[in-house]
Amino acid sequence: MTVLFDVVDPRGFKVICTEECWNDHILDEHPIMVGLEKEVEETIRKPQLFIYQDRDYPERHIYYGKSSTGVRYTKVIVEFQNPNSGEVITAFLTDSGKTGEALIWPD
Amino acid sequence: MAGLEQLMDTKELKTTLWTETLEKEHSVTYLKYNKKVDTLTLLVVPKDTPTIVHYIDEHVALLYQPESRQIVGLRVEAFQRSFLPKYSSLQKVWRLRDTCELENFGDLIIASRHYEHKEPEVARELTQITQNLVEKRGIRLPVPA
Repeated sequence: MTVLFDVVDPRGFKVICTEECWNDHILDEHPIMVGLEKEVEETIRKPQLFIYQDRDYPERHIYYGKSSTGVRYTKVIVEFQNPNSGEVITAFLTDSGKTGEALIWPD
Repeated sequence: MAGLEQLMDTKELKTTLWTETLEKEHSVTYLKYNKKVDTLTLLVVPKDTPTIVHYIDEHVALLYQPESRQIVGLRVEAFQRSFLPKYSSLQKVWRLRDTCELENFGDLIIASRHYEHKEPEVARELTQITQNLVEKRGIRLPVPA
């Protein structure tokens, strides 16, 4: 497992993104993310908008930032199998939030 | 969900590419279940097409091309955990599909024939569910044959 980047979010939680995740999940399903590794990293480090909790998977935290690619959001989903450290499982661009996500940051 | 502004109205999205592609091809181009993330993705264009995600409810999103705003696919989140239990018609064809994948270990030829027949059913059921969700937003999304 090769780590593409590791970063600390504004709550002090450590998050990693593996090369496998980036290539096999993110780029494979969301080719629009080509070249946006830094943007994803920054969205976790310093979300310009919010962090939410997923409605169906409470261990997943969702980071939203403003995308540099246009009027849309960068959405990064991180799974926290341990309380203070998580792993990126996917990231993509969206124009809307999802109903049922619960705000957890800023609190 | 509090605080996040919706940046695009569903009515601003276009369905002509979706409609024309299905009229020509009669089936979707790409259908993939991602077990790790629990998402199902359906596309009527090649999978390397860049898309934006536009949520229409707590599980379903439309995928559209950023420049043309043409809808080219669907994405379902929490597919097995929450979405599938809500729709018995889809659940039925999805279970058949699962069975076919298991049969694959025993008899490759027969299993793959079954498998090819089930994917269109999943695509059809999923599109029908999505159509029911988007029609109140003024969008008509033809269902694959």
